[in-house]
Amino acid sequence: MTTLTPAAPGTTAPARREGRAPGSRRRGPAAISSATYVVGGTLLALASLAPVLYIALRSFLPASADADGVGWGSLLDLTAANYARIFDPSVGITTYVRNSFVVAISVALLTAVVATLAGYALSRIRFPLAGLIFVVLLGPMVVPYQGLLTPLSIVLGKLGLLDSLTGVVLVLVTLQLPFSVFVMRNTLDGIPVELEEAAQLDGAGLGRLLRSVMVPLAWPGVVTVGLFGFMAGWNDLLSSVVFLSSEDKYTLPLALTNITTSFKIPGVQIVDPGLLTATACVATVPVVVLFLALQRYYTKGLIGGSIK
Amino acid sequence: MVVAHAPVTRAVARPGVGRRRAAGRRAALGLLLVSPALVLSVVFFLVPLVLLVVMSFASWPLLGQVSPAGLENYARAFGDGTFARALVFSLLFTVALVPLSLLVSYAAAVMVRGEGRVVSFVRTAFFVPVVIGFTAAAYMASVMLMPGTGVINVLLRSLGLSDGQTAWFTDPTRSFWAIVALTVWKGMGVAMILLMAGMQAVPGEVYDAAKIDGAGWWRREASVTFPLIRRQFALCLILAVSGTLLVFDQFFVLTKGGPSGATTTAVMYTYAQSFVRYNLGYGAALSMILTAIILALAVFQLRALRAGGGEERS
Repeated sequence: MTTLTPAAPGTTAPARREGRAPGSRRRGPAAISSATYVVGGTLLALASLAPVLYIALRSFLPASADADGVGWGSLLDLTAANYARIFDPSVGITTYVRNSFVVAISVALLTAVVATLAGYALSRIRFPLAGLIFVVLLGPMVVPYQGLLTPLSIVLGKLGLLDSLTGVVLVLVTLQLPFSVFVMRNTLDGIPVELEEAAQLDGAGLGRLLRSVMVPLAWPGVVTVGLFGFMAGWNDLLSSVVFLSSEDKYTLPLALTNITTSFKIPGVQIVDPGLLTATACVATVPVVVLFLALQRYYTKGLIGGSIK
Repeated sequence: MVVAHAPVTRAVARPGVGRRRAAGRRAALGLLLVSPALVLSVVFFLVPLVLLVVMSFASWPLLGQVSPAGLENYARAFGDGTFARALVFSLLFTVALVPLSLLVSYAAAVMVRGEGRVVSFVRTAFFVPVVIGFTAAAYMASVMLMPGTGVINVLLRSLGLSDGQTAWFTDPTRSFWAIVALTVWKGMGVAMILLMAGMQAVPGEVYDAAKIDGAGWWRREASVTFPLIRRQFALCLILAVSGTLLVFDQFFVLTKGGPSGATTTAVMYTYAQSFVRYNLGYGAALSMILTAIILALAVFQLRALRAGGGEERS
């Protein structure tokens, strides 16, 4: 909630404290000059993005690249053929994409709502067993969920949620809760109580208070929680592998593993790089785009969860 | 920045009338608001956890009779050489990965803790791998590391370091280090942000004071920044250690645990026992052991960091 003051490397300005801010954001002077930083930083940033860019390029190359490799000449020969193949009904990736979207969006929205309500209660309201409940909600963070897969599949079976996307969504939301409730509670802790009291004096009910005051003020936290929920749903492999058995329910990461195995000759793994990279791109683009669209929030959201 | 829609008036003392009843209503409201989260946690975490404990003391085939087994599953686990091997492999992976990954995260945090357009571009670029799924990232790596045409093999060949035909995932040592590199690239962003946040919260006055005392950049990092971000560092360390011990996706996709089980991780082995061989009771016991190890390591790390941290608030 602090105003971030831009600090050009090499400057020092008087530190400023404001309100409930954890302290000034002012840095000491950087050790390297800004020109070096711009060049070095840009190079490293590109290096970090290079694998993604390379795969994106690779996915637009024709089958001849399987034998010839990728060179500058490849840039003249781009084709969408790989995408035509993976979206062809014979491979049927469309269903997996749709399933992944359903799971990711549901996890994102559910997590955001559930964590905001719980975070508000834990941050603002004194109620019995609040401490114990907080510990229970944080539990999944300490116990490795991979270990819980077996009993979880039994519980899901009893609830009739095995082999259903709903089951996967509910499990993933639960796994997101420790992080999400933590972030939301700390974000809401950082909002002055006075604002809330003022709204209440003006006669705002709880619904209106949350909608018009708390959620807008806690927006970076809400967005971060939703974004990480989306990521968890979109990228999940293990829950899908374990809980989903019919192919029409498969999600994209599961489809990715299938696309390699279906081109396998016993003993020899024949990977079709064109298909693989195109599918990897489809599995990457939505989540990266969403992240880039929401990137101004995530730092603040995560910080709200780590520093008080 | 979002602006509140509520009129900002000064807070007035809360009315004292009917306060107790209001408190009761608020308590009920609190429970109501927390109940969706609580129900999810109870159904999909606490119940399975209890079930896990029960199962670990039972012989629990997928079909057929469930029977109590006492400590049999645990006894079997302690005599299971394959599990020991998988556990040692996961531990080795953790030992190799965590220091490297934290070092990279720390350096990246130093790079991105400032302000400005370039800094924020660099920060975003460093964080992008985090949002990509491990499955997709692992397949990207498999294409980039293909013998002959994979871009990394091509680069190594053009630098004269290899013949470009390296089959990275058929050799346990090579696949181990390839997956370490992949995991550092993919995972360092989260710790970077947490450490960065810690660094940004260090008051500027402290730096100014250190500078007046003649401390150079390295000295300020070591004696001012690092001690002040201990808490964030501890959090990152614990998250990294427990996350890495539970490594699954990368190896599942890239090596399938092979060649001949050399890269089978503890979670992969547990998964195989439960969902390939359907020894659910035994799988549960293995999970319990993993959980115990992770909790013990987390407690140990907290202790160690606190002991070194003096009067650090936790």
